[in-house]
Amino acid sequence: MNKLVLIAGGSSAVFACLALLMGVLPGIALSKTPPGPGVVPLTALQDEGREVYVANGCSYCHTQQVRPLAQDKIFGRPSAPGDFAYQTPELLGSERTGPDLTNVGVRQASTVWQYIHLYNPRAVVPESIMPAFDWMFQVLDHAPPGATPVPLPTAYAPKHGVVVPDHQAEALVAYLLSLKQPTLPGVSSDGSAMPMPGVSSATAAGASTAASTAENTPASGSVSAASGYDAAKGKALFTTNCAACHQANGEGLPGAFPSLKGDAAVNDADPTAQIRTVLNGLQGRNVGGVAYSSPMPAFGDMLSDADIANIIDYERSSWGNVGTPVTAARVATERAKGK
Amino acid sequence: MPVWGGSANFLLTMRGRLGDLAHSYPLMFIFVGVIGYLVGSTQGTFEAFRSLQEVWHLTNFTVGHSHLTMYGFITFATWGGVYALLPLATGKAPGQLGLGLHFWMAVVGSFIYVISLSIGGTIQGLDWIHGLPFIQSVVDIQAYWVWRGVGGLLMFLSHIVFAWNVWRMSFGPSAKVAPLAPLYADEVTA
Repeated sequence: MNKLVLIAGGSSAVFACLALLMGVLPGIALSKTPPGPGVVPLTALQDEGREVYVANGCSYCHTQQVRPLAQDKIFGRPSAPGDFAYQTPELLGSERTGPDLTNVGVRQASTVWQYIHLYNPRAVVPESIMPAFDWMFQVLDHAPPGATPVPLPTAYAPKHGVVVPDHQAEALVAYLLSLKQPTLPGVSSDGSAMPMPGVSSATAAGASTAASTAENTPASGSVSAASGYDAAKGKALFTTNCAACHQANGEGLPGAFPSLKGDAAVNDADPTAQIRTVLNGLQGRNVGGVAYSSPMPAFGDMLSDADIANIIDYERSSWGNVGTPVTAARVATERAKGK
Repeated sequence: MPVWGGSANFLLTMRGRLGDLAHSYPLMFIFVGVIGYLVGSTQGTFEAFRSLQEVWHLTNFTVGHSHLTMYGFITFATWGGVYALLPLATGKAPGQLGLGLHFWMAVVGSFIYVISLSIGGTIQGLDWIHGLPFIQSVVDIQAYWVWRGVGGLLMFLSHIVFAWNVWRMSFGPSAKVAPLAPLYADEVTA
């Protein structure tokens, strides 16, 4: 009997010690971490959206932790303890079947895009394997007053009626859009020390790997090789940063995201408008006679001048566009002018 | 080092008696468990190197690794224990067919599962390091997920057979020949 007490008591004591060391003490230390500068508590709706995020297992496939590694720069600056002040328990995730969402409110700020993507991810990202969360939407004959129907592409829209997000979807999207990394003093948004450097050497190496393997690299068109334009890199950057809305074929989604194919600004000999749009984003503007409600994010803080020049040159030389090429120096000039 | 020591201890215990494996499915389950422990723990040590972790962290490689350790080690060892002890408690034995189906579907299934996710996860990690658009890593791993599905299906079917075997060892009809008998006879003469 004494042995039994020793075995049960001993193992319980070891377990209690480990729980104290690995759970309780770090928990106390973390709870004393002050919120980082600019980190604010969630609103009631965002908090509800966080519950929806947890209930639907979003964190099985999406992380919310940016590592201090070159390959994580596309997701934002490295996470800091203060970022998680109002996010307890932290939804760090352990696997990236889908992309990291730490900064998704900045990377993909468009509510319309989030709704289309949630209703059917294939509508905006054809290769996506994310489940469709269409049960968070209602299909109605007419949109009720005050509600805006989701502008789905015809192929993905129901045959009859309009699609309107229900409360769950609204809360979830409110939460997703609240996921924004505040800038830390002395750290640029791509995680490196100021000032904005070019893309990491790892990315550049990857782009050149892609160059040798890409089968569908578009012809350079009117853009000369002498301008420093790298077609494969431009295509990769476009896919990462732009294709979710403007689509791989550059045609956007009718009524939701403008087409770049034959767009006036993209084919304009003066690239000022296009450069400023990419640098500072765009919202509520009439493009080609159509008013688009969803905002385009500002890429000035996320991408270097050389990257933006590469993206613009890719757009200007693809899908039959005949815009004159731009250089990184030209982008730098516009950046210097400010917003 | 403790891993290699423990595994070596077990495997050396088996020295000269490896032929017994062919007569005893419980022993084969335990044997696979020890191999799973050895390979999985060694793999874990390598994963702890920062250079390798930069590739494998957050990829499906981790999922393959955890199945090698939790499934290939713990689950197989537990099955071996159940198949060795439950017949002694109830006096009923599962059939050789049930044991064989369970063992081989679980072994082949988890092998396919772990190998496909290890390769797929490595490709995922390298895609990210090469700065390819994220969606490319999703496209590149898809074939390996199909193989993972094949492995997972075999593993799932083996669990159904296990349930059948447990039923035969408890409430159902016992097999006519107790599979452990030859082994005991062997040990008595040894």
